[in-house]
Amino acid sequence: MGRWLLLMLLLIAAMFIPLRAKQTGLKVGSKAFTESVILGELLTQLARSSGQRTEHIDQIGGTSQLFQSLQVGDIDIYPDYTGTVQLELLANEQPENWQEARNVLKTQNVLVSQPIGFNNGYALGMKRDRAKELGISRVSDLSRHPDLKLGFSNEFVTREDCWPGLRTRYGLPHNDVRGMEHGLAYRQLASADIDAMDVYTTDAKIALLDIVLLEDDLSYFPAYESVLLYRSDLPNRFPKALEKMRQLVGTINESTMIGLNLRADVDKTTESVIAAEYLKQAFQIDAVVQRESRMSRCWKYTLEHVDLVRKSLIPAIVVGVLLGLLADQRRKLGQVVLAVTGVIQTIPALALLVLLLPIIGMLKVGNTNAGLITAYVALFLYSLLPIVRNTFTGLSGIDRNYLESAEALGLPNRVSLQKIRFPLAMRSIIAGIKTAAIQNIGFATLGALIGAGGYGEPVLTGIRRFDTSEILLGAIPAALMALMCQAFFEILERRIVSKGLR
Amino acid sequence: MINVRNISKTLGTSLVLDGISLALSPGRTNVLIGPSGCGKTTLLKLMVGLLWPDKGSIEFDGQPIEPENVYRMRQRFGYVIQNGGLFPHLTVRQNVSLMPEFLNHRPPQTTDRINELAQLTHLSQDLLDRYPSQISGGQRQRVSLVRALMLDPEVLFLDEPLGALDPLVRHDLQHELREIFRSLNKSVILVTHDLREASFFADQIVLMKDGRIAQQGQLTDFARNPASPFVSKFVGAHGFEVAGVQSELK
Repeated sequence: MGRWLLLMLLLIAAMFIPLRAKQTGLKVGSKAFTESVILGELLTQLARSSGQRTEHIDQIGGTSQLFQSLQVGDIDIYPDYTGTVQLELLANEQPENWQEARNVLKTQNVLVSQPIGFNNGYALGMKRDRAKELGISRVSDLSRHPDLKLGFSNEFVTREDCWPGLRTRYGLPHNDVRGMEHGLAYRQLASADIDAMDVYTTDAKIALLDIVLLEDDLSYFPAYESVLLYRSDLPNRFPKALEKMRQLVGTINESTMIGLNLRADVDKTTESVIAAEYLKQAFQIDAVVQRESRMSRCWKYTLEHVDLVRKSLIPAIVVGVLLGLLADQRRKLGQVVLAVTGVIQTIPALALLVLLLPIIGMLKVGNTNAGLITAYVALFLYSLLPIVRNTFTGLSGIDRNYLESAEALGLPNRVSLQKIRFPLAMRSIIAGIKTAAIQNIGFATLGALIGAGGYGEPVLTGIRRFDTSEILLGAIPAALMALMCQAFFEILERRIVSKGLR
Repeated sequence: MINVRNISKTLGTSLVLDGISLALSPGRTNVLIGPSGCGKTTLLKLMVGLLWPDKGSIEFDGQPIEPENVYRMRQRFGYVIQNGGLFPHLTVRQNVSLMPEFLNHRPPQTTDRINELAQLTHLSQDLLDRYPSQISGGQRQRVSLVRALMLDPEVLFLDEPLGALDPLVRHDLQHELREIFRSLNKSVILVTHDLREASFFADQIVLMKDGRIAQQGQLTDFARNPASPFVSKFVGAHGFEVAGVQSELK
């Protein structure tokens, strides 16, 4: 027993070795596309120029995640668009105009700045040659070509103010409409896998890929003025930093923004450098750009990834094995446990993250990062099934002869469990933990969607910037980690599972 | 020593034991025999407290066997289950040391006991650190016996101890087992379905049918004075001469 207890304690202790830098000070958020990251970087560097310690949590999944993060205090400020706020974030409140929307936000303790100066609305775009070939220049022309393949970002497909409304207004007949990651949609458009997609009107890829915007001839798309959303406690907590960040208001117009976006997408300049150059030129601010080498970034992602995996996997091992044992001892309850963990496994990862974040935001204590905890919890839940199932299978599959033999010898239940049943089930249990661990390493890349970092971060950045080497910076170590994990568990199996069972 | 009083036991929907009473005296070898499904293994499991009777009671040494005292009782029993029931993940030595270890016996004492019993059962020393899958069926049976004898039990229960062995090994082990039983001078309760084996071991044979006792005594009693046509048929089927019945085999 002593050996197992020690192993358990070591595992639990391993959860608390600090791997992440503690996040203190001001936190700026941004969405997972270039423009938002550039704006986030501008805000961050402006805030830093006031002497305030500031962190930029970039590329958080979708608008609602970001807004949730703002409400639960994972971030203090982020750039958004008037149309998004009015039509999506406040879809239930349905404000009549922008002033009313601001008032509603105020009741939710969120304040809004004046417009930054450019409009980044939605538009539909097609490759110029394809549009020319079909004679399409306006959105209404699309209805003459019902066979076109449309690829929209996942948000665009579902948001009421996007595709569903657009389809109704123009009476569009298309059936082949796919939801996909926005960066991926550009690739598919470039390779002619899709014919049209949603684009943002300041996106540099419009110029880069020679995309024409279809004229919104029925004036469907609303205005998307860029504004800053921030927590109402920000003016009290960081007045000087906020003052600095407000300098952005009214200074960036569409062509400036496209120029900045182009620097990122075409020249592959990192957002922090672009922001620093712009601040120097526009405000004479000498921002210090922290340029990290690929190695040091990779190391940082590794630590974050390991952190995600251990804080979800270790509790899952403890809870999963106990639940598997419970399922074996109480068969009826066991069926329920297995069914519930099975159902959890079928919830799409992104949905689980979105469902959990507000709950955890509500429960959160002190200065913890709700996005991070949500990632831990989601990964924990995903890891349960293989462990519970294999523990149960291992224990319930033991030959009755052995159980009877243990009982007839006079071994009490506890001892028989420890000396006979667990060792006999060990191979199956370890196989379950191995499966869970490898799955976990893969799933943990999704943590980047809610600002939890890890290998998912360079993958998201790489998809966004069309940068394969950046994708590989996350994908290769993630694969290596999975392989190492596999090897580790195979060695562990050889060490722990008795030779008599081979 | 063991008193079975009016025991009934239902498993699933079938009545396996139907009001059995039986007194087993100490220091002797008792054999439970009968066709498969007659309830002999169930009766054995009830005696060691692996199952509990629906009706009736079982006493050991004047004390009823109950869930409260069964763990202590079992340390006075040795049980060799069908197929041996050795744990495949433990070596022979670990298998037989399980109980002494659990009871905190001193390791040298345990080692002495293992050596003594290995000698008694003709197990060579180099087998002790092998796993059950690495030794023969006959050797596994001997190890099972050693494991059952480790705590020097008052009663030894064996459920078809030779059932899975080939005839030659079986023949040798039969003789050895009888020698062991005699030298130990313990109460032995053995289950088999083979009448020849039963008569070879038994001081007393209990023949069972459909959860009841058909007859009790020596093989010669069964042959000379069969209590029922079933007894004649059973004895005859094993190739023994039975009064009034011509054996089918002869």
